[in-house]
Amino acid sequence: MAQRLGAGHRARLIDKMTSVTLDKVVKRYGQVDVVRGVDLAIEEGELVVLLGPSGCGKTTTLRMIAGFIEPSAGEIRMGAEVVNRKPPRLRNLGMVFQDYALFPNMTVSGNIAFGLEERRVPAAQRTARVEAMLAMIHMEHLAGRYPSELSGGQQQRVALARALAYEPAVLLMDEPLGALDQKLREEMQREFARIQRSVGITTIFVTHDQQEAMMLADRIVVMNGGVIEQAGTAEALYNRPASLFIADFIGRSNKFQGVVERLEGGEAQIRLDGGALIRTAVPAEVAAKDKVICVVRPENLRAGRADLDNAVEARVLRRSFLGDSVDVMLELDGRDEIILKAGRADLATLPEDGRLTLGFAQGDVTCFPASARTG
Amino acid sequence: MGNRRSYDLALLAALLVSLVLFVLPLFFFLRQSFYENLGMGLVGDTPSLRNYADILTDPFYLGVFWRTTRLSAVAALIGLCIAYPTAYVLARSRSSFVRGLIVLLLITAFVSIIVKVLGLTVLMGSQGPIATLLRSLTGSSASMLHNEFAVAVGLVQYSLPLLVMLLFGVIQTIPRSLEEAAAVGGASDWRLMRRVLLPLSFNGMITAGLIAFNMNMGAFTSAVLLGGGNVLTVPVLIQRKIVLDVDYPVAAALAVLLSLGVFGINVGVATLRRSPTGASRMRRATA
Repeated sequence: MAQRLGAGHRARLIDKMTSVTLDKVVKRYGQVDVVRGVDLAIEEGELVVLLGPSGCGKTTTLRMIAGFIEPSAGEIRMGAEVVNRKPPRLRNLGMVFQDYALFPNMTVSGNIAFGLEERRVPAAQRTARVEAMLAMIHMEHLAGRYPSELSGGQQQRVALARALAYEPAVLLMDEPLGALDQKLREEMQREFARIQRSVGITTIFVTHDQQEAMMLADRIVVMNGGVIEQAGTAEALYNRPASLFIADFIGRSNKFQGVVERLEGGEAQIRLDGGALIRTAVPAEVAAKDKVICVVRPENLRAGRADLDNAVEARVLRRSFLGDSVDVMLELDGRDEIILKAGRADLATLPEDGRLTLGFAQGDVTCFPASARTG
Repeated sequence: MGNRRSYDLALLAALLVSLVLFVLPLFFFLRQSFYENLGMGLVGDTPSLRNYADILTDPFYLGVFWRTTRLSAVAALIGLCIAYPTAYVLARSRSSFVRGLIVLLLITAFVSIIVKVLGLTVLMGSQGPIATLLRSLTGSSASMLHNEFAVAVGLVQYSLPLLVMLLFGVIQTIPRSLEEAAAVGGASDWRLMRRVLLPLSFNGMITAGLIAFNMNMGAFTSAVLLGGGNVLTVPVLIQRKIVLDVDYPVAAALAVLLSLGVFGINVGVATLRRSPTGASRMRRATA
């Protein structure tokens, strides 16, 4: 249908779903490089989430793909076509904005029909398409309402329907759920995931919320300081973070500082600052006597398991009951605050306070050189 | 409470001053419009609507009213057309230099109208640069001053800074993301303006246009100096009735009719304003 909708009156309009490729893309404002050489290939139908703290360049990258900003260097391609200078209206994009950007002077139907009208889709086909979109977002009964008469979640749905109505080549989402409260946000995430999967459209989704990214993405691209820090599935980023920044940014991490005492075939003995000795694999660039930071996820610390590869002693500060699990805050040698996440079943065996042995397997430790940038 | 009362007394003084200096003289002046002019500044003692009837049945007076309204409306429309793109660029710019230009604009709004009109007189006069250029091109040397065109230029020039500032505020209330959404949706710049910008700034344009129109209807200096006696507008006519004819009653009646006319036009044009968001439509539907 997209081919029929786009064909004819505008030869230069990109008229089918495409891949998006960024090739050494740079955006410079005066002396400042906001985006510093981004390489990224997004496949047809893939849902990629650009994730990162504010100012990391993710929104600038998205706006370059949309065509609102021209890259200072590098190439952006849709399919095989270089689109660096192609105006937004010819890129055949759907976009959902952070503030929804619904046209206040048009009804729900009018908003959804906007892109179809601009493409001069015949009235009968247009009406059918608008109705299909209204059905998709379950808002048939609100077709005649104006945006100011809708709730935030409803406006969000209309914005998505407007973006998808003309079957665009690529869907761009700019922190679209940022303004919603937590519960509604999760509901919209599920609904968006359902719709995106059923449409199967190439999607680039920008957010600063790592849980949202993990919930939605086929692939997460973490940006920091204008470059891609790491890209991969949520699982890969969580289990095999490439840097301390990723370990910190994706999920929660306990950090232990120490010095490498011995190094034998990639396995190191590390003397933690508190005195405990642990064994683990270290990256190739780490040498003996180097300072390292070792990261262990809260759920990989086991209370009272001195039998595991590694064990450290810690003092319990307090526990927080979270329903499905328990967080225990611990102090290690009067220095670091450590979090242990335990299942509800383990609750009975956890002391209220006092000392506790924390065991963890060698494979659950990831080490980084201490000089590494933390972002 | 004691403090509060002394503030109230301060207000009372301001009220008294405006009563004595503004409302009272205005009342006596307007009251004269209902009495016959006996000449030499004297008025009759039986109130009637005679002056009004005379004005409203005299083609000369009606012609002056029509000319004033037409000039004011055309100047307001031209002003809107010039001010809108300027205001748009100013409102959409992020540069601090451009923000500085708005301060400059504000300053020009405070420049005395006499200075502005004299500037135009030099520019458009028979020895001015435009006339010189025209003469070298065509050989003829028609003066651009002392006609309706000159007055319209003066009116536009005077109301332009205000129009730009008013529309600047209007355009700033339209989120830029709406324009981006329209562009992504496939709209060209022209379509974007027609479907999004103009509908959303329509009410603001009506308001700004009416303010400019009202200023133009009362404009005296531009009409006198640039019209050079050839362009008779209502304010000029009122001044002549008072100074040359010493006919206070007719001058007062003209002033009343001018005010009523402006008021009526404002009410009429304001009904063109509409709720672009449908909020009022919903209130009606649910009421």
